[in-house]
Amino acid sequence: MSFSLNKSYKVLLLLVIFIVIIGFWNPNALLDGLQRGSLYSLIALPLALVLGILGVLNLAHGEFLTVGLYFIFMLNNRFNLDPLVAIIPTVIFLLILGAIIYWLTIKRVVKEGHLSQLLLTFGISLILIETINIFWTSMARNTYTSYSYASMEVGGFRFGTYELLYILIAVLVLVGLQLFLKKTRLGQATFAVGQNPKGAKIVGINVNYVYLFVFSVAVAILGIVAGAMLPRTAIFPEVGSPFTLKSFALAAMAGMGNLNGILFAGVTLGIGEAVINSIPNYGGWSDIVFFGVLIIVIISRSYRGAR
Amino acid sequence: MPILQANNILRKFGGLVAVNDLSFSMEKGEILGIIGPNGAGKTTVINLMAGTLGVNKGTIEFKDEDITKNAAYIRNRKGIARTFQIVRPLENFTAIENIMVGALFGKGDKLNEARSSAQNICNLLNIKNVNKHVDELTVLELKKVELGRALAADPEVLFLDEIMAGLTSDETWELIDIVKSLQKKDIAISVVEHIMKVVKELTDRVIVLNKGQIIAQGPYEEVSENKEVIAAYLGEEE
Amino acid sequence: MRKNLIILLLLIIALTLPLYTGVYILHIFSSILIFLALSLSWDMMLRTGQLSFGTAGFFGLGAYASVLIVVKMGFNPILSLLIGAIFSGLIAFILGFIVLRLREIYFAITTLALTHVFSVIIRNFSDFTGGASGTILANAIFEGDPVKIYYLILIVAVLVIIISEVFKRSRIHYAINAIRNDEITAKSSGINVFKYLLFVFVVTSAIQGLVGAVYAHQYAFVNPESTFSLNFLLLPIAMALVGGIYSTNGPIIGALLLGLISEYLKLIMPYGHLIVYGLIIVFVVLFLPRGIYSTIHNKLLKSNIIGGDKNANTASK
Repeated sequence: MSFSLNKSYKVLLLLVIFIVIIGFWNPNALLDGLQRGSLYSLIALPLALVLGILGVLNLAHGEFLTVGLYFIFMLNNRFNLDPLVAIIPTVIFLLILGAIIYWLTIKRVVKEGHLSQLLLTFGISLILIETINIFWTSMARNTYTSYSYASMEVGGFRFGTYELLYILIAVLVLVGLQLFLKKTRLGQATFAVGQNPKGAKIVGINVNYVYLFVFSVAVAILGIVAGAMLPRTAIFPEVGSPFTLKSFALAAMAGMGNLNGILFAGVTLGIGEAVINSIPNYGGWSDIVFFGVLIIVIISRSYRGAR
Repeated sequence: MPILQANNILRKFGGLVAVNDLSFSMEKGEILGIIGPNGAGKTTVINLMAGTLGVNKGTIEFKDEDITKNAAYIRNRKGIARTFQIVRPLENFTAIENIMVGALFGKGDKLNEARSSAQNICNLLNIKNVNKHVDELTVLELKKVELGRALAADPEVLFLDEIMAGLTSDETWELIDIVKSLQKKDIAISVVEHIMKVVKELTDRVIVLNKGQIIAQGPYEEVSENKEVIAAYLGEEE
Repeated sequence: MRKNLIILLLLIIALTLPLYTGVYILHIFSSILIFLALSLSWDMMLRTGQLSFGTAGFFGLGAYASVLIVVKMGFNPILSLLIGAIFSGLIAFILGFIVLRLREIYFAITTLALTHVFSVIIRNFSDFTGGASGTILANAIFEGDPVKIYYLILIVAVLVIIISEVFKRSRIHYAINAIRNDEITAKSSGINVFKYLLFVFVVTSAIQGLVGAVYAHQYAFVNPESTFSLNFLLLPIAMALVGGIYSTNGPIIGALLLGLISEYLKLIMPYGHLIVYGLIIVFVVLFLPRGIYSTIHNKLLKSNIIGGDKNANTASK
């Protein structure tokens, strides 16, 4: 696990060059890609956190996002609460939900093999999707806010302003996580547990408590994402599902535990997707970017590991 | 003529050279002891000879055939078998099924042949609880199952990695007798051992490793007087 | 002896089912048998220690291959089912050289990602595959005759059961069980680990392709969304877990049990009846890691009610 920025400068430089080239060639795709990439990174961060600290790949990750989206939708629909304001109750709700699910289920498989972990979280994801199906059916739903399609014009180039929020939130959440891990006692304990759970236990850290905390916070972060997403996203029970694999793709690409890397990886893949998406008649291929990269990264790592 | 020969083999782990330019050979019907302080590279030598690990440099010849590039399973089929320092039984099998695996794949038996070969080996090794699952076996029985699986492949060369470790004195003697009986079948045996009493009793010849290189070889009595060997072992005592 | 009687009895019931049941019941059992075959094939791969999430992918490939070869080249529908199996097996063979070097979580995730890649590729070669809206067959197989379709599916399911039993009773069982247990021991005992993994991967993927082909011809259409649906991955896993993994009986019992329960729930709960699968997966993982069949079987074994069945015994470990 490395949370350091030291090695990131080269990557950062490459990323900047990449962005500048795309920016000149296709500014629309660049902006679209930055927004997508920020959103992907934002969703991937908590998955990577759980993967890095607990060693559990949470296959229900995307479904927790779905739950957050529906919770905000409900608050908006019933109580006319603005989605961005509804983030606060949603984060609390997800924090509690995450804690309950950790305590009842995940806790029992943290020390078990990957098979149990994958199957358990697969089962949880199914329960979450189907619960939403029961309450809201499979119909797609929309939320209207006055600001979600606001746009501005700079030098004859017109673009939507709302999605810039994704970039802002992504940076804020990343910085917040970094500060938490480095500056607070709980954060340092979390870091220690991620490095070496047995050692952490010996020096008196309550590992189980740290796991509970990390898992709940990871789920709760999705509440922030959900609030930002809802105004621009039609929701249906499987809306969050694709993000699980995409998040894992980013975590794998960044290297386990490298939180900054996730932002770089997310933005790179986001732009890659947006560029392909902007090619007429071939836009549908953009879906392959993540899975292709995921497969290539995993396989090239395995070859390097074998040597 | 040696049956198995290592020529200048070298193996690195990252920057650490575990086995450095090592050459030795084994003869039919001979028991060769491989001794040396902790971390001398004894188990790595077995891993390299059995193909569990690949060499970075050098060649390995078995009956005048270059087997350096052969995978572990091919070497096993050709006649090189091994046991593991920490026993690695197949946990969802019974004792006899563990031994059958060696007969099925190492020797190439059919299913019914494998069962009778395995039963013969159980008799030879005096394993009584043949149908017990491995998690119900005693340490001695596990060691015997491990040895039995290796023997079932009908090997010409056998590597035994600290097979006596963790046994009582009586049990050790039982295994020593078994290994000696294998020697009579013309198998070339190589034992890695920490217990010097066993080495003295069992081996015809020893090689002493330190830091991945041979520092002495010859009969145990001779080697145990060697100053360099004593120094290497003393170095470990600190 | 008693075991053989039970098998004979079940086979007779299965064979005579169309004589005394209506189309609706027949349809339910056809669907259960489809999932039974998928569940067994998933379990057969798991016996090597590799958790595959690619079941839906190879199912979909087989479905598309068999439908397209009928639509585009006028192939005989029955023969096209074999094409579905061969195509999935072939793709598995090629991909096997790459993905079978991976283990654990990485194998699982890569096979899941491959499922998505298959569906994206098929969606985008729309000239050939019909794109997102899919391709429709002029006619379902056997003109949609439910009895004939039931027998076809029954044959496939029995074939898969036989393959699973052959796996359990031959040297394959010893090889893959050893690989799952300890790859290093397996290698130093003369087992060609990669060869066996590839063999099982190809066979199970071909089964999944065959089942996909049959399913597509039953409903006379394929489309990326429904043909590559993750239900063809999740439900078989749940079934195998419920019955008990690493055995032939486990997935069979699981498929029957879950198939009937979910069919009943579908009637009273049109949306979200699949929740029962999620609840069962979670429950079984947490409380019955050996599955229902193996748990009961082991209890009976311990109390000596039934004799020592070696297969079941090793299977439950």
